Amino acid sequence: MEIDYKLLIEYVRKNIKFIFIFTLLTTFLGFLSLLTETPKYDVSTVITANIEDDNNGLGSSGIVQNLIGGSPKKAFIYEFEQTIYSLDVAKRLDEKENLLFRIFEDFYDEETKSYVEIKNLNAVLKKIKFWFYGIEYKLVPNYFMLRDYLKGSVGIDYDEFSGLITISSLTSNPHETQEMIKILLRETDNSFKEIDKINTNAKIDYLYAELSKNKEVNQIAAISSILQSELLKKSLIDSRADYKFRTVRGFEMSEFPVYPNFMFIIMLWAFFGFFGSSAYKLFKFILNIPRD
Amino acid sequence: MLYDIFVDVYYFDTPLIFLLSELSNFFFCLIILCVLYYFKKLKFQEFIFWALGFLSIILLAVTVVGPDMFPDSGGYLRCVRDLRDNFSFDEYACQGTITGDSELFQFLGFKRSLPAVLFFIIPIPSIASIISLGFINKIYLLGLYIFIRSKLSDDKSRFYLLILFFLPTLLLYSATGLREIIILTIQSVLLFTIIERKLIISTIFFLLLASIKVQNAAVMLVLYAGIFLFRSHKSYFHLIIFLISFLITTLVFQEQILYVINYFRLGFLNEMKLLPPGGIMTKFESIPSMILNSPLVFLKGILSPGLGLSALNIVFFPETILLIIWFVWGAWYTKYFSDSLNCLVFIVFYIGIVLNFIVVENDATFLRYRFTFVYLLMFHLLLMVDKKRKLLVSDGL
Repeated sequence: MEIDYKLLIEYVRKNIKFIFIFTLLTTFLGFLSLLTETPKYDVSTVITANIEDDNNGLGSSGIVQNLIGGSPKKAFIYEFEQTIYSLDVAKRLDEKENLLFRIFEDFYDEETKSYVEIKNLNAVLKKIKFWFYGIEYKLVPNYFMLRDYLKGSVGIDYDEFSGLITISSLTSNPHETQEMIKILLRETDNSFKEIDKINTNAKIDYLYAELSKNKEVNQIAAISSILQSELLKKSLIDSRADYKFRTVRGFEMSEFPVYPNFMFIIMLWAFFGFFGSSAYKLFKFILNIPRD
Repeated sequence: MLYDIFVDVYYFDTPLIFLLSELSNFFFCLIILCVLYYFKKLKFQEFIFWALGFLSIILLAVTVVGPDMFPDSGGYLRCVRDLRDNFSFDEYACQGTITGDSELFQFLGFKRSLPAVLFFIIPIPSIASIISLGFINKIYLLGLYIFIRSKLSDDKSRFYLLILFFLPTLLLYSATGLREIIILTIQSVLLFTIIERKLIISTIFFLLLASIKVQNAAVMLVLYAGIFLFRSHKSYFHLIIFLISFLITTLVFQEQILYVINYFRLGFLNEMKLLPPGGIMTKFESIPSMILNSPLVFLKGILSPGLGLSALNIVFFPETILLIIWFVWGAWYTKYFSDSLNCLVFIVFYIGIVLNFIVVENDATFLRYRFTFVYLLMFHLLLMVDKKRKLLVSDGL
């Protein structure tokens, strides 16, 4: 058979009706799917690091960051992202707000006073994935799941230039989510405090020990100076409500539901129909091409 | 290129949207395959292989490649979206992760923007999910396959090439939105244009590579200079002259070269939080000692990280062993080291592995950086195997 692009175009032209009808059909399906979706609102707040007051905290890591091109703000964003989604914060949220139960209430069995196994597609896929890594994964709600839930429902977006961090969530229950993010931020700050407190206390103990050992005036003066700054840092940790970051813009809720995005979903279904039907017809066409 | 302006990226937690988005992309790729098959650029078996390859992006996304596995892929996605919406983008704002790198060593500074432009010129239907760019990567890989395939005349060599494109490493990295496949594509085309001594086109591809990944371009410069300036392909004498000149140059600029190597090492150690006080930083202080230690480093680099990184290495390590056996067989079959050009290509591979191994601390990152050099060597080996087969056929053996 002769290879001619005109033949291909002619074939597509002949089947354009099928492609068009199929695309319309999937678009209509998309419209129907939109009716079943729950509207979701965007809830967000903007925070930034308390850098200017925290020179003590930057220390050697700040120097390293500057040396290789980073900035304290950039370092904070990294630190913040690691902390807000840490198991420590998830655990704190559960201990103080009983969040694990609030999120996975449906899986709690009152009779046995324990959680039952989650059986949905995501959980099964996760089990397969962990099996692949050689880990036996139990599908009952735990802190890892709570962390995953937080990661999935609370997003972080940052502007490296200004150092502003936007915390946002798409939710069908905006007021409750707003409260959850507030608590999440509070516990993230508490987690920062706890870690810094442990580090600072260890440094202070070490410096006191060094101070008692040394007899040379210059060394005593130097150690005293470092000790003073560490004690100042300790008092900051204890006294400040907003320790590592402060709110730049309070919580705001979108005026209208941003999900589902009507145009996006309709277009997605239409694209699916168009490319799917085109691929199907072309595949059928090439199957009938006689080859040597 | 469709995406939701209100949602950063979709993933499998919204399965319907994720599948609609990625299946649309899959159908788009299937159309490309159908057209290529129609115009006899692919055989039916190849068509099936590649269709499965495109489908594997979705399967890998669901099972192996999690949303957090390659966080920097989000940066390229944002660049592509910005390019689509505004036809320009803020290079700095596109960066999705904090890697602590600096623009100091960025030649031309197109590290993120050029891959974004290259991603942008393939108009896939949807860029709504984190793995959408994987389809563009796969299309580039298909282009590379057709390019290399056209250089091979023997059916068996073409089959080997097909197998090579479906080994786990390439399958994994071509299913993500990273720039590694673009780097591999440019680097491979550069290799072929250099060995065919096409100066202008090689220079263009060299500049492209230098603007995306200056480290790889620095390694490829050895091949570029070796062929175009010293004509090392002519004889071993030319090659030795080149190597002596290369050695003298590196010794003259020892301080600057070591500064760059130590700088990158510092960056990677920082990424792994291995800098003092938590860790130690051993600086490289002499090129001759690095050269003397390099054979051991090379062997470690080839076999690293063994079976130690994660369960994924149960797949990657046997692949490494398979490639080593494949190379040893191919080198024996083609008398690979009897030609000065082949030796030079191997030296480039050697330098690539050694430099990456001494600089990169993270095993997963090293694997990611290494595979472009491994596949480069294997593509060249296949070319040699094909030449040998052609020779045997023409001799009637």
